[in-house]
Amino acid sequence: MESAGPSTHHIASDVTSTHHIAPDVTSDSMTSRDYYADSYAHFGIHEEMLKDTVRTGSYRSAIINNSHLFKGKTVLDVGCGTGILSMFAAKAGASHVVGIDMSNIIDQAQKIIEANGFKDTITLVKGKLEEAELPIDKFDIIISEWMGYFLLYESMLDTVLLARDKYLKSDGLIFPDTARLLFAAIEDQDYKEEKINFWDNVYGFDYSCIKDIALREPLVDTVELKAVVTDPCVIKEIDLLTATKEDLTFTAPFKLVATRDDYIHAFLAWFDIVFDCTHKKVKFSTGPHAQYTHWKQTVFYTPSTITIKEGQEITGSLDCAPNARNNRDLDISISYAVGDEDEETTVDYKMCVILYSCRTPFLLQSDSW
Amino acid sequence: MTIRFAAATIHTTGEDVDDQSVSSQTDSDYAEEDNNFEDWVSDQAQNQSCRSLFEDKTFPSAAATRAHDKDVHNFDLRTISAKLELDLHQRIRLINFIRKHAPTSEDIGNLTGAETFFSSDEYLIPQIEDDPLLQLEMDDWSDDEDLSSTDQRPTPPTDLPSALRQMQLLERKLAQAHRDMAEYRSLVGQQFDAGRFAEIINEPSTSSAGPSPRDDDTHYFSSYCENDIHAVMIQDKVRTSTYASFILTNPILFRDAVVLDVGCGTGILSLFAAKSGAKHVYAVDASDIAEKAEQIVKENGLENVITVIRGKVEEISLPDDVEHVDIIISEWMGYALLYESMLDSVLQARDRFLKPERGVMAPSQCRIMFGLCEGSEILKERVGFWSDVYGFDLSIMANNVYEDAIVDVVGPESMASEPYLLKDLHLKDVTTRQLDFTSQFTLVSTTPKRTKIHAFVLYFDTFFTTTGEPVPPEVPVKVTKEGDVTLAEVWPVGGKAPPQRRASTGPGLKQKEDKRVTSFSTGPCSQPTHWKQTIFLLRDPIHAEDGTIVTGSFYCKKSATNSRELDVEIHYSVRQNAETTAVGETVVQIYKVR
Repeated sequence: MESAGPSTHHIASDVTSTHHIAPDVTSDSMTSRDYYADSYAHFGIHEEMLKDTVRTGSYRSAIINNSHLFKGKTVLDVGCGTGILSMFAAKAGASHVVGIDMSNIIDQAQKIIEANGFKDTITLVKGKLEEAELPIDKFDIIISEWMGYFLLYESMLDTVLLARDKYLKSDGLIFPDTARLLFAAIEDQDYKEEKINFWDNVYGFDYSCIKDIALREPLVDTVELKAVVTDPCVIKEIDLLTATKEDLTFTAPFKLVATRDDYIHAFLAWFDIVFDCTHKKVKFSTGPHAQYTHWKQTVFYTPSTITIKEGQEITGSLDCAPNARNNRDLDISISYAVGDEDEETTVDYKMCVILYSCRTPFLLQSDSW
Repeated sequence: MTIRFAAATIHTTGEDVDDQSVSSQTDSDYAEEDNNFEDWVSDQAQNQSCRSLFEDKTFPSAAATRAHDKDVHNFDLRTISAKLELDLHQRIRLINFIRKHAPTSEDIGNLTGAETFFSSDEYLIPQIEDDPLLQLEMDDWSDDEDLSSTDQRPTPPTDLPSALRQMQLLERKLAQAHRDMAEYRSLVGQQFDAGRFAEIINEPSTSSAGPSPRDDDTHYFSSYCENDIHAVMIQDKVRTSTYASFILTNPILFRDAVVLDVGCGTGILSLFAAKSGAKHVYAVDASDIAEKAEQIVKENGLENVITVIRGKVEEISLPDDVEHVDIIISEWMGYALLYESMLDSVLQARDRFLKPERGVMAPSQCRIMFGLCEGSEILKERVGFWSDVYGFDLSIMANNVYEDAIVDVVGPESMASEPYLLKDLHLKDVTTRQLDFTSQFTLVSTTPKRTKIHAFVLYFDTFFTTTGEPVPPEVPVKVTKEGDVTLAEVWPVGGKAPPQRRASTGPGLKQKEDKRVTSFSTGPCSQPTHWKQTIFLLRDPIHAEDGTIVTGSFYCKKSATNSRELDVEIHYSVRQNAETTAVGETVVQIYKVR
């Protein structure tokens, strides 16, 4: 996910170079927050996204293998980042591509498109979509890679919807055009031990007060398929051609049927992405059955272990809403009951702003420790 | 950036373009400037005899030369630099140009700044070896500051449209500041809960509200509120087990001692100290995690022994009856040891609170080690990747790779020299000033066959002694190998409490304890720690074989723009072996650790 969306953060120009300091931020008033707020200008994130072959490869297939859709068309790339999707579109024969991104990465993107000979076909615009003036009024196609963790966390979807309403022709196409959020339950004794119960005994000391907080922070992690104990269940389907911003606050019922006798320690969420308008439908999944993506899956630990028999059901609902105070955060609450029991458990989770610091790469790998 | 010089060791330097002093510079200004090199420990070049630019006269110092050239020849580098808007390299070229062609000062006055020599690499080569005029101000060795100083005084708009634009920009920034302030107020009005840790970074933007003290701390402290970071640090077994081993196996040192834990985090070190018999532990942390530490202390029934104090250690006070502490424990080390600069706070705590005689700092010593690193894997990953991304050339993305130090793990096989001790920090007497340092290094390649060396690698070794005295140089660091069992005797296996140690204070044990050194390494040969290693990629690899010698100097200082970051500059040159006297060109590369 790259950024063109609305943001309350103050953006410092050119944090990546030591030799140019932003004209509107004097070095004295620059806080360390300025350096980190524009985290997407840090190259590590772009590297991770480009090296995610499922992600980038799927977009490439969807665009390059469908040049009949792109030939002679105008294309808007929302949150263009390093410009890779714009270049795919240009290669597929688009008459003109406009890429927009509010992050400083766009300065690098400009050099990249020039180095690859697309200077005349691709125009890059730095700024927020709401405020920017684009050289073309209406586009045939919008392309965007807007997905965040848990599909919607720090996602740029509302900006894509805004772009659609403002700039897409009435018969225009959106790449991708369908997103599905899926849900299941998993057996996760070992990891729960390591991630949550770890706090019960730290070098012989009791740290359990941190455990309650740790439980309420959904964990972005990879889960093996064999850990999944139930059939998956689609809890939300988003059609990008028709969705509205209000659709992103939702309550979704779910019913999970166990496929074997086992214990359940957590719920698991992931998403599938479909380019429905392509000739041979291009799609990819970020689920535990699919090849690794940088989105991994999202794990919601339950406070207590659920014992389940094959064929037994867990019913309940998931509420998802942007946090009222900080709309980059997500409030997610999960209510569930097992089998015929009347007793319902509700857990409130919160996905919070992750601070990208030097330590982050380590955190992402910390599961190997 | 890389700058190359022919075979002579020089320092890239520049003169400060300071508009106010252009016309009013007097001898006393120079004198003041001479005292103004505190940013570097090394200032050996300052009082070196120096030849005038315009006649064959030599003066005892660069400052005197400049004064002479100004008085007699009406040439002032500051004035001309300001007039022609010369950057660091152009100033260097100008000096070398004058040295080479000996123009008159009138000729210099007629320069426009567009002459070809201002962009020619030839004139980066000094005409005089160790030319003191090229070594003016050590703290000005990169040209960042020139840019930032002009940024602080934006050029006033000259026409109406640009004035209006600037006004609009300022208005927008003010409106944003108002919004941020409102957000901040509503935030402060609400009760913090632990899940909101990250929100304290929503401080109001101050950039339009006029100058205010720079805050490098808020982000820093709030980033330490995340539980994840603490889980990672506690789970770094090499780190935590070494601290545990030192504290728990030296009960004689800790029994009845008053201990200060600086930057206590979740309080794990304080808990160890309490277990080891401390009379009282004061655990200080400026981040919200202090509240958790307090809760953890209570849940472990140690609230009578451990007092958690929330605040910066520079600002807190200990109870009135506690004048001094016996031991300061702290895990302050950052990437490349000094990144994050928490050591400054620890040293302040030492000066304020540690018992002057026989007080112990734990750790007591850190050694910054430096070596050659083969580094082709890292290079492939960080640079090679960008040259072909789905058939596109994104190599521009790799440009900055050489400007930022890389924090990553390299294996023992990538070490291409013996490690060299770059800086030995003795915690009992090191001063904050000494943390900006310059060190010379000599690295001898140990690669059996001809190899390309793509990087320097830096890491640190940490030592604990029960006396607080530094260990002799011959004492090796303990290297924990992958798979080593760490600290079996105090490790709580399977959640069981560690076995109680017998209380014995016999003189034999005391003596044994005195000699005990506990240590750990973060080097490539050790099991990886969360510090990993710090890698400085070279723009051009060094071609080395067994015995190739790389000599140079390593400069490290706090960044001017964020005091928790580091600016590093490495100057080096290569000799094929000890017998050859032919030294290759000197290469300079500048990095940021952030």
